[in-house]
Amino acid sequence: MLEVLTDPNGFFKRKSNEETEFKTPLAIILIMAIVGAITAVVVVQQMMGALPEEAATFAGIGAVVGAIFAVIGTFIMWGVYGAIFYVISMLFKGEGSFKRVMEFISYGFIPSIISSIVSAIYTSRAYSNIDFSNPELIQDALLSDPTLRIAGIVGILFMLWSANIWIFALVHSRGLSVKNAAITVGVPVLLYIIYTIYQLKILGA
Amino acid sequence: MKVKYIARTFVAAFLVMAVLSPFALAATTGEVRPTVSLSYDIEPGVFMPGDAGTITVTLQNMATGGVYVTEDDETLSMNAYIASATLGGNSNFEVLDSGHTNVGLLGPQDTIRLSFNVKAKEKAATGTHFLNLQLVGGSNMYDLNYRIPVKVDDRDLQIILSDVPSTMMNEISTISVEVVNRRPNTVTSVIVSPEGEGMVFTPSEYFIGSIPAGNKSTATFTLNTMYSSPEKRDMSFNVSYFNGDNLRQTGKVTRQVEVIGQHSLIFTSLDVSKAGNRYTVAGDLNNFGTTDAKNVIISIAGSDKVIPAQPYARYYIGTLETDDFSSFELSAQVLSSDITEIPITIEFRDPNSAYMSIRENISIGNSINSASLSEEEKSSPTILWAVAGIVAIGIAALIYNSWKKRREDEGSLRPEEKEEEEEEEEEDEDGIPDY
Repeated sequence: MLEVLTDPNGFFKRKSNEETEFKTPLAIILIMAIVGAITAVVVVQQMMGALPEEAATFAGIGAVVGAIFAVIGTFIMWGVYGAIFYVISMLFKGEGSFKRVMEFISYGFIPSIISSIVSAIYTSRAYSNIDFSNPELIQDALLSDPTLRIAGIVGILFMLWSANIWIFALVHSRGLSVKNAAITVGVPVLLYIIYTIYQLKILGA
Repeated sequence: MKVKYIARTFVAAFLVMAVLSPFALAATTGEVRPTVSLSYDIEPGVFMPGDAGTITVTLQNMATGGVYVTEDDETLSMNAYIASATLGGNSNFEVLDSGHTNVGLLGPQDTIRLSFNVKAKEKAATGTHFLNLQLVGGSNMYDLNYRIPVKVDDRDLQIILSDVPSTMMNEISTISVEVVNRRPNTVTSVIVSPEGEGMVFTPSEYFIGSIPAGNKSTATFTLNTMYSSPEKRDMSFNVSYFNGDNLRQTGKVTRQVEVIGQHSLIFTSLDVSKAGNRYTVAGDLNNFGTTDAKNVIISIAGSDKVIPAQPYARYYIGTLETDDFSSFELSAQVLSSDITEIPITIEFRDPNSAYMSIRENISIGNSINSASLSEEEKSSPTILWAVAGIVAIGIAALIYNSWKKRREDEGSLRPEEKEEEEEEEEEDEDGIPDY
């Protein structure tokens, strides 16, 4: 399965000759969901350390809620990405089922698993330095801390890696040319990246 | 000022002694002569070698009644005529004046004071020395030789440091200096002068005044070593005084004291609690020193990252007596996790009501972790950027590799398609270094 990371073209080419199966994709998304949930818990725990004792009780509930949302959110995100790519590829007269698209693009989330772990480490570092009892200072503190910016950049790098995999996924699932697949993937990914940059003010700060 | 008054009165019984004089014959015929008494006064009472002083001789005509007395139908004058008075020096004393000449007549009951300036020689020996007073009489008065005893004593005042400790904190303390007059006469205008680098004495000099013979006086100083850096220091005292009109200095008495870098106001039982970024410090402030601290107020010393928080930004204690303590509570907002200590300012007044201020730091816990973290955090952005760089290179390599493999796999593709592919590659790879 690691072939998808080193040779996505060969991997999807081979896979397109096989029957559609959802075991591996579900496993990938599930792992990603779990990692996301753990990240949420870790971050909330970091926040708890900085919060007053009374607020910390509510933060415990927040951690559980955060974890649940992280799991559900991951699955929703999978569906949203699949739908976006499917719809855009329709413009290029892509052929191939939505199921196949969903199956293939799930492999593109493998880098996101690594990304989630890395960003969890970075984020928890950044949050541990922040005092949450003074809301006015949170944003300033977050922006002045280089850790979050680095985390954002690393996230973008992993997103590019995912995009690379998705290009091949679409080439083989929707029978697009490489150029069209790149546009299909590139547009939403680029928007996402621009949004991330804007949010973190990486270039502006 | 009390000068020992030495008065030796004697009657120069010229008439009584007349029988022994060349005029004995005249006496037998009933001749009457004036009677003069002599007393003297020495200032200073006891000289030190090198001292200058004054010897005042008082002469009084002891005759009573009128100036002229009729005796056996003969009128006699009772005026005493003094032709000259001279004082002779010796190997221990020199007389600075040449003496008095033509002093004149001294009527009955009249007195005259004759002063002589003398100086004890530098090598004058301790003991009593005699200076010869020669009085030359005129008319019907006889001459007189008299030896005036003058004392010389080289004993100096002694300084005794009765309660100077060998170790001092950064504190306000009081020390006493005893000045002992071992001399047989009173000394005047005694002033004690302390000296010590990095120490402040209050008062800067202490005036005692006179110290009678065989007595002692005590000078008390407030000593401020609050801002002295910790090291061994010399503290010295000397005493200036007057013996008569002669200014004298005692030898300097020096004592070495070690100043240790610890304030006398010490925090104990500290309890630091945290609610968000608000830290509350409660504890006791102890006066470990030897003097009372008045108007004590403790406050958070604010900075960019530490902001004093009401209502306990400052805490007033009042007077903190020696060997006593007082509880306090302070709170502050700490805006950075780099902060491991909260700076506290303690302000008070010393026993002389002088303003004092000291700075202490209270650790706010996790100091070991925080300290190691802060070291790490200084270099962490570099490390994190390096990690991000490595990740970027790794991902770029993987993407490049995936396209390279694709090219290898589909080497037989049509040229147009290949071109398209390459364009895509460039587009994709261009995107990576941008971020």
